[in-house]
Amino acid sequence: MRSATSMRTRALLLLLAVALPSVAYAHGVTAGDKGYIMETFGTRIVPFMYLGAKHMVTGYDHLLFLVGVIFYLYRLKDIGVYVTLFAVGHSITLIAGVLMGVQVNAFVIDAVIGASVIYKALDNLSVFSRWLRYEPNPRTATVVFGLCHGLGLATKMLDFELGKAGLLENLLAFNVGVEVGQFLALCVILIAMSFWRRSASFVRYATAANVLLLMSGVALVIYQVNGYFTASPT
Amino acid sequence: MQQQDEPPDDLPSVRLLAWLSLCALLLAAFIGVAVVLPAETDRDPTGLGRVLGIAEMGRIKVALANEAVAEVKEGARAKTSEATQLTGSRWRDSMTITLQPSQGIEVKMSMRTAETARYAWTTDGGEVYFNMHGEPPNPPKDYAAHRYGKGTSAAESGELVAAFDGVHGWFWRNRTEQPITITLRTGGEYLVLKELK
Repeated sequence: MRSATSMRTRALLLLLAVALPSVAYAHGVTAGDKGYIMETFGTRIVPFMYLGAKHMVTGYDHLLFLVGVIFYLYRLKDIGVYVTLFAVGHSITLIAGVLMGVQVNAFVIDAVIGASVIYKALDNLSVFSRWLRYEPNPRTATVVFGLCHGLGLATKMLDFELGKAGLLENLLAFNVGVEVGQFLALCVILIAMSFWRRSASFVRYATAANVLLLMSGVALVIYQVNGYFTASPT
Repeated sequence: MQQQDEPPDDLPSVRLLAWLSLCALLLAAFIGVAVVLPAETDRDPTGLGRVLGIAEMGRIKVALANEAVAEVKEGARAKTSEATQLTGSRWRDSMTITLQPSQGIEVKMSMRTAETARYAWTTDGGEVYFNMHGEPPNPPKDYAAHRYGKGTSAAESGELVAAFDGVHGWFWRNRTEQPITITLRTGGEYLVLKELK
């Protein structure tokens, strides 16, 4: 049983390693989106909402974090608390970051998001409560990771080289779009998780799944740290 | 957030989940066709993309992709700068603008419907992206600018006939690595020529 699980884990890890480089561009600015923003100007509410939602739905690292967060959340109320705290965090840094022109290295931010996946996996594996004496407050952690993610979004927005015309409106629309995208992604993950929770395999493989999540987080961090030292960010 | 390792007894039923899955699938299909398709490609089967103002995004993306392909095909098509007459009494105003790499600027003339302005602009060498367009005063939030033309060029000249009361002119962006200086001359019928901040 144990060896079957580790075989499966290894196979999935291999799959992840193969898939990672191909999805590496998912987080960057696509030439099309950037080109569009550079060649238009003024207030564009729906397009910026779309771009915000697209960022969340195609951001595989954030989706992994979401899986970790709702892994042991069974009640909509608890998910609501998480979403709200995260939204508060990233809205603050996204809006302040763009208006103040704070641009952080994208690799650093993405490494922090990878670290958030590691944190959540360790939390789900009860490492903090069982092995360490110190357990981070999950609400505080959610806000902190929200703040980090917002900085990443701000960096992406600044990368779009936005015009001054309609900047605030576009920014708010992008922020709302991020929420919409997060909500849509959560719906899909939640439905899939709910199916899985009903089967006996959930309890059996829950630990393995979180170990896999942990490994993915480590892979993300290594990938981004490597990128920080080898690639020149644009 | 309460966390418990064992799932509670009141998990949603398979029936409910199947129903939710169906709804999610339908919603996803709708979003795909009505929103993602027009935003990413030049197709808008439901017409909603145009209503929402994102069909323009797909159009521009396709145009950019085509331009990129065309540029590769033609090689570095060196456009010789047209011998444009930049002196003489044809002109009322002139403006010299230096754009740093990736900087953009907007210069517009305020005009009434059907007024005709003459214009000519050249750069000191490199090509700049230009987008010639107009917009009415206080345009609605999602107003898509009226386009007169766009492209990448080192020199353009011609006549602009205002399609409506408003400001009409150019957006330029320097996409090269070096600063580029644009010299613009305008004449004919318009109220003022000015740089929009």
